[in-house]
Amino acid sequence: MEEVVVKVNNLKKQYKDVKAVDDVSFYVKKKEIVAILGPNGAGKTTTLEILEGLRKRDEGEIYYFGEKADQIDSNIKEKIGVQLQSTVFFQNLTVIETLRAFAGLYQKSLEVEKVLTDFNLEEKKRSRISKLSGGQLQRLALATAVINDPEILFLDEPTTGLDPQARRNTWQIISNLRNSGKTIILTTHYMEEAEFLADRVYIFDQGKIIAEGSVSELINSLGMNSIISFKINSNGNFDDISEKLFDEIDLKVSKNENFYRIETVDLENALLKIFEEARTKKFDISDMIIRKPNLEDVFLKLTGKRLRD
Amino acid sequence: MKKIINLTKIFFINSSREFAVPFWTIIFPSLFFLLFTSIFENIGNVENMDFKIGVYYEQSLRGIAKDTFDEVFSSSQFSNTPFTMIEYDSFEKGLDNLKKSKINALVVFPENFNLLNVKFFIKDLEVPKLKVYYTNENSSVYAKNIFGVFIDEINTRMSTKGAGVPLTVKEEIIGMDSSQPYRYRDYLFPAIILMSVLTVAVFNMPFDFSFNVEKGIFKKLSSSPIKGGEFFVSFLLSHIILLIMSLIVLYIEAYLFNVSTNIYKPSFIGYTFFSIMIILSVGLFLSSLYKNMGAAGAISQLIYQATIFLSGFYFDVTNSPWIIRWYVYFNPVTYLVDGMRKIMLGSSISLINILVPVIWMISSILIFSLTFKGMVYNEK
Ligand SMILES: Nc1ncnc2c1ncn2[C@@H]1O[C@H](COP(=O)(O)OP(=O)(O)O)[C@@H](O)[C@H]1O
Ligand SMILES: [Mg+2]
Repeated sequence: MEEVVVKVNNLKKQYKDVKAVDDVSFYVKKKEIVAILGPNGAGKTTTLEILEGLRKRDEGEIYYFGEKADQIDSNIKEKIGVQLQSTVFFQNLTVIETLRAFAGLYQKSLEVEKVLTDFNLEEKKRSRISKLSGGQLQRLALATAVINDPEILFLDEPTTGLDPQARRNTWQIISNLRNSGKTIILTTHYMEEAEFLADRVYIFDQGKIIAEGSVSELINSLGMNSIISFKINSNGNFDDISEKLFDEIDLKVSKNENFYRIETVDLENALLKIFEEARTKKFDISDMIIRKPNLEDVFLKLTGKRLRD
Repeated sequence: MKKIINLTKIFFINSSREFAVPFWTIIFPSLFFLLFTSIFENIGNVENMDFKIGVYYEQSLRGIAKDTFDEVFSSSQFSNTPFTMIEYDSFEKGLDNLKKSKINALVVFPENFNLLNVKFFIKDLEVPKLKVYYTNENSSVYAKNIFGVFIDEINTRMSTKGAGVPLTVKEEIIGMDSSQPYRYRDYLFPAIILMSVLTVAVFNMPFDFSFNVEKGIFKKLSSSPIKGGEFFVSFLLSHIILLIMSLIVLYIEAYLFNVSTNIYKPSFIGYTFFSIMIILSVGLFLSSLYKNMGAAGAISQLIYQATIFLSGFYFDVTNSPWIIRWYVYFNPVTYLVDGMRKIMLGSSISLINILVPVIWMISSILIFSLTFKGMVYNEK
């Protein structure tokens, strides 16, 4: 059994009448990437910042490296790297000055020049922070998080606000970090991010963990292989048709105006049925998409909401 | 310790690269000092100068010596120079008036100065030197220099009469009488220092603070093993360094402008640092009040302007109407300006110059340390 490096039991935090974190328990094993997936306001940041010692918990236990941590003291802080959800750095410093500054706060640190190259900031090292692009700032945020060569990395929404290209780059950097032996806990509201990066996922909603497991476990728990969605153009009423489809081949049909969505374990059969019905009942099918279910579907099934509005 | 140095450096570099910060903290106060002393002391404005030169004869002049001096003093060449000669019958009286700024310089014709008459015939005769007494006041220095021009004139006239060896003058600088009301620059200097300190405490520090809180910079720093104490020592130090730079510039200026030498006294420097500590802790207190930067700007302006005008920075405020007076007495800066001026005058400060500011300091630091954690953690 692999070593558990972070363990959280029954964590609670309340702001006035908002239960930001409501009895949350989870663990992270060494060299794992664990994603905390959830919509805005789910309590991801609060949870992470309690673990980082930046906010106080109301209740609950935290264990680091098998030892109970009542306070997140400087011994723990030496061993963790933190990327906050949004950090603006000192605007008038250069990239290299910023990295040196953070390196100077720890007992041990990586070589600044090496980190600059690893995070593709070499060219920008003499630029002022105020002159950096969003992607460069994000890479700098990651670079400052690893500057102390931490064992555990906390990344709070590391790709929010980035364009797809920059997001891909960041995913690559995070994968490389895992390969170099870091344990990573990240939060995200992009299900693709969790699917691409995470070994295990905790799905948060309204301060609670509503599901957990590896990406494939979570998706398999839906009990379907494929999702078919399409649009129907007809004067007729499709409601009775869908009822029949549902009866005959055990399809789950949901409908939103003239958009239909069918979940199935037997794709071939379902498609045949749909087209047969279309031909006999004389309606047109358009914009058909067939895809594998993803974490979004898991979230939808559990909460009835989408991850992002 | 290494961490404190590192962090101080970062805070300092970051804020000093912001143009407004060194400008308002260093450049503006020195320009202001320059401007105000020039306006109120009319530096280099000869029209408004009216020099009074005291003269004391240890022995009445006779012969050629008398003729030459009479001729020069009444000559049209100097008639448009605003000179008034006042003859004293005792040296002590002249010196006393010089010390009290009633005259700008005192010229003494020594005994045996009449030997000058004989010098036309006996070349290697020693003529006693004229003596000019002056003070470190600007107008006095001017008067002394202009008197030097007189002597040059006399020398040329005498050489045309055949006296080859020119007259020489012995100059002596006299300390000012300390009971003398001091000059505007001396009055202004403590205010300018405090103006620079106030800029740091009321603007630089709270703005820096709320920016760093708002943008999560403090939060990011607290995720490192740095301790709260190290953190705020560095924050404070970075602002103190900027202030020290400002003080160095102001002192150089003061030196060039001949501000009273009392500013180099350890008691003055010590009390200046005391004032810095007080005002900066009030700055910390302000920092913990500001929740957003917009409000910070408005409140800071208000406090700054009110303090500048109502602490006796530029004029006396103790006779102001009661509506203003409560602010005057409530405001710690009033006591600090007063304390610095007392030391400047050579008198000693009273308990109130220490007590009221210290009460402010203690309560400010107390309030700050109770609130800063919540602010950094964004859990107000
Ligand atoms: N400092 C705070 N004061 C009051 N409420 C807060 C504070 N921080 C977070 N909350 C509330 O707690 C809930 C969880 O917030 P957060 O942890 O930031 O969610 P997430 O990171 O998942 O978007 C939200 O409803 C938020 O409004
Ligand atoms: Mg968040």
